[in-house]
Amino acid sequence: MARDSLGDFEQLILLAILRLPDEAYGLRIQEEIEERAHRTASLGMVYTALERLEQKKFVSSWSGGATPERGGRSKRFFKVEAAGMRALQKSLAATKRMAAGVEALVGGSR
Amino acid sequence: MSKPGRKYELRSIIITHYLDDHLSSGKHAFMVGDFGTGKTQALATIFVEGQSDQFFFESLLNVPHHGSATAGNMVLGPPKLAEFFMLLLPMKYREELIGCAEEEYWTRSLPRLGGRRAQVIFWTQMIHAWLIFLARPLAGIAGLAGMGKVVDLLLARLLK
Repeated sequence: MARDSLGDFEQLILLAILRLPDEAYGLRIQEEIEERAHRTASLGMVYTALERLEQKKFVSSWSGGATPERGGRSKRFFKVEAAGMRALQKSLAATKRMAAGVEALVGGSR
Repeated sequence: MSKPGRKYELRSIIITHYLDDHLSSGKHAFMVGDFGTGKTQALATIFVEGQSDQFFFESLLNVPHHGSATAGNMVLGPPKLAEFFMLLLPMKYREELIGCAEEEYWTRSLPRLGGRRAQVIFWTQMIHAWLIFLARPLAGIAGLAGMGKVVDLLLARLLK
């Protein structure tokens, strides 16, 4: 897979981050994917994908404050960078182009 | 008020502050005794579900510093062994992963599913994280094997 291309799960992660401005951290991203995409995602999956996206410079992160319910551990918040946004646009556009003309076939699949 | 209790294992609980620092929201109460620093900081978290401060205080009095405690509905933290295995994960954000697993335990799993199932979910998160980590090199090996087959096929055709 090309370095700037996105996998299916990576695409969901980037969309979840965009949906959660200023509160995109591991658990919230996982919840968002489960609620909206109806996909089961473990925290391990989410953090592995986030690490990969950060290596590709598609997202950046910063550390937040510690809270008691996290056992005193801090949250790591994520933000989509310009490169990530471009990759996401490219990926969504490709899906749209591929789906064009066959919407009637795939429309009622869910 | 207290019911016949279940036994919970407690390790090295040091209570550094009391009710002033416990956050109470009608249903759940947290109290945190925080000691140590940095990544290895030890944290004793006591969670009391739907109990008054009086019960909370009585529960604390029943907790010895080392050993087991008997308390009505008191539920103790996520499984320490699973947490330890998570700490061994060679991941950049393992501390954050453990934090999220712990937050999920206290705020989602425990109130909705109860202590036992919440602990199972915590274990599942740990096992899943390790499986993903272990699967990466295996996927690499599978990729190499695939490449090997392609090379074999090409060589076979060329040598014919």
